[in-house]
Amino acid sequence: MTDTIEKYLTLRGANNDIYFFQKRVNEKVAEVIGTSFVKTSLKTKVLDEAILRRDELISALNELEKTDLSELSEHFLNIFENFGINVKLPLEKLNESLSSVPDQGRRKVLIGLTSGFAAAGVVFAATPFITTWNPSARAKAIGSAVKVDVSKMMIGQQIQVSWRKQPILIIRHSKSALSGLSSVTSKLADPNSDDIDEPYKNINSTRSLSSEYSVLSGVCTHLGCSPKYYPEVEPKPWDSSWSGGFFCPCHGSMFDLVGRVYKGVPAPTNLTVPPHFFEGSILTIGEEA
Amino acid sequence: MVTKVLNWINYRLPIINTFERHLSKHPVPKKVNFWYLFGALASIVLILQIVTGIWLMMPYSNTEEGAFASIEYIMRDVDYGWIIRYMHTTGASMFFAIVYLHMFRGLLYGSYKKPKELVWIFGMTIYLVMMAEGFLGYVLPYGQMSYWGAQVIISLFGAIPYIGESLEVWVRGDYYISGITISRFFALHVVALPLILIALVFLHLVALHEVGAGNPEGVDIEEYIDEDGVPLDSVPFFPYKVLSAMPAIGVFGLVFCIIMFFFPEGGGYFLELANFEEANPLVTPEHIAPVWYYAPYYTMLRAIPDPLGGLIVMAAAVAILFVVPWLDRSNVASIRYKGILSKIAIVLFVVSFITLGYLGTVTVTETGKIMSVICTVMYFAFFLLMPIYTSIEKTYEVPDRL
Repeated sequence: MTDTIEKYLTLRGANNDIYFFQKRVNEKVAEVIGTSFVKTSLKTKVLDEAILRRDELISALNELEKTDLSELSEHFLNIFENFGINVKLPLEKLNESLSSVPDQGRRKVLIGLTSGFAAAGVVFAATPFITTWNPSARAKAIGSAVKVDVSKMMIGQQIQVSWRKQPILIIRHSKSALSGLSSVTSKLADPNSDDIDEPYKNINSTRSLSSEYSVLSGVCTHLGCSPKYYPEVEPKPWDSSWSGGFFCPCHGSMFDLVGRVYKGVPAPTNLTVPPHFFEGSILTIGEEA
Repeated sequence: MVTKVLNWINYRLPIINTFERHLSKHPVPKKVNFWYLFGALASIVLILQIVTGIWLMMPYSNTEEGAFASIEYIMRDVDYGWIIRYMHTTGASMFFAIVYLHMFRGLLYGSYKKPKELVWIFGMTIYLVMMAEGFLGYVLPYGQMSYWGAQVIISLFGAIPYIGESLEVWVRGDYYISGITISRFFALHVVALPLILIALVFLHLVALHEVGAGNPEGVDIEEYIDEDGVPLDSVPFFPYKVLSAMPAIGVFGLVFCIIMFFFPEGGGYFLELANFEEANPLVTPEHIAPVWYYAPYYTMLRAIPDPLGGLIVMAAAVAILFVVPWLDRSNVASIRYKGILSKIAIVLFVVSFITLGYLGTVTVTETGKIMSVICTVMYFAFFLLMPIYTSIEKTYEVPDRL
């Protein structure tokens, strides 16, 4: 037993009995005596006697570390036996498991089957706990289409309506704003909405069914904040050559006036266009024509 | 008579032994510094949070229409309701402040080194559960920040490929953060996570008491023990540590009260001003920032121009803390005996972490964006390069005794 290991061999009083504590043993010793040895009663309440027994045990451990288990003398084996530590156990265990092989196959099958059934049971039992978290029938029922009269909007104005409690942005563009859209194309990540599945693309430059109004979902495609409308063409803290559009206050994503995403911002795709149609000046959101 | 009763119980349930072993007679290193106080302070704040939390549950209403109004009701109409609420909100910020200092102590003095790996891992799990607990609690008042903060965090689930979108709806239980979401967050915040938290604290302490507390020198005090197996450089927890911690607890109480009475909003860092407005699913506040204790991770999320990438980086930033015991290859535990490289690394780490925290609370600017990328890289470099700099540097010899 090396010096450092000796330091961990302690005596400690608990339950009026003196225990032998061994915090750390080297791998070789642990293999033979096992982890149960970590705490062994010295079977005495007298301190001096306990120290003697401890030293006895330490000498036996020292011996065990130096020599092979098969060469350990009777004297040391007896010491281990006195403390109820069976040093032959690992070897015997090995033999035992070798001799009782026949049942192992069947046992494994039975254990496997039982665990399988138990696992299936857990899945069935977990189902209601998981499905109660789905939207309830009541939550699903709310969400019918909304109608807005957009003729009263001023040119360049943006209004917001709520559909499914989500903000929908409606913008009435000026002619100059629409003709200026092409100037920012080089800054956009996906100017033609090629990356998203969108039924209204390439109909109008507004990305909607109208040549004057844009209808956009005001939910940032990054993490769901609502981007704000900054139509003015002027330097902004987030972009020194800002030419009007939407800026998300949460993570700084930028979109142009018709909701197309800029390059190099957190949002991955353009703002989506919700299902909508126009009947004269009445815009319906949430339904296809 | 009392002794008799105690003995009768102790024979059947080892209360006296357990009390002596884990509290009164528990040996702790005789020389430690103020960094070792935060564990005890954290447990005091945990108890405070549980007690004030139970009291807040009584007048709080977990519905979409009632949540915000019930907070106003607590603040204005319930006798001394405001003090209970501010105790809880100040407690939340203080809990994080203490835990951050406690974790930093761990990094400084190698409180994760063999055989303390599990203590560290349980501690990190506590931190993780605390972050979830804090988030859920912040949603409950249903103010503007509650709503939009939750919107961002829940959208993070949506960044997971394939299952993301349905997972988002499943977590919310609705198509927006509604009363359904609030009441489920309420259940998790007041029952499920506190139970897990208490169990984890128990495991953290049991594991700690098994391997013994550390000290600023990184000396293993169990190498020198007396005949009773008690380390020579230790003192019993009571009275030595309990009494010496009393002044510190007093000072902490004073700081706590000053914040609670005079600065409960902490200048918008503890309770954000936008949260004094009821949630409006249609309008995002002008300036949206997380509470200060999430700010560093939030900046990382913002630094990455892709939701999934941001989510991965953010998750990795927390996950990497779990494996610190295996990243540190140094043969000494304490920073005092580590080489110059470790000292430089830890300073850079602190600078990057604080800068990330600051950036998370301010509006995005172009320089801020570059800074946040640099600091994110520095943050990860501290951990990823740890196996290299801790193994090549020359360490100093650790003394035998404390």
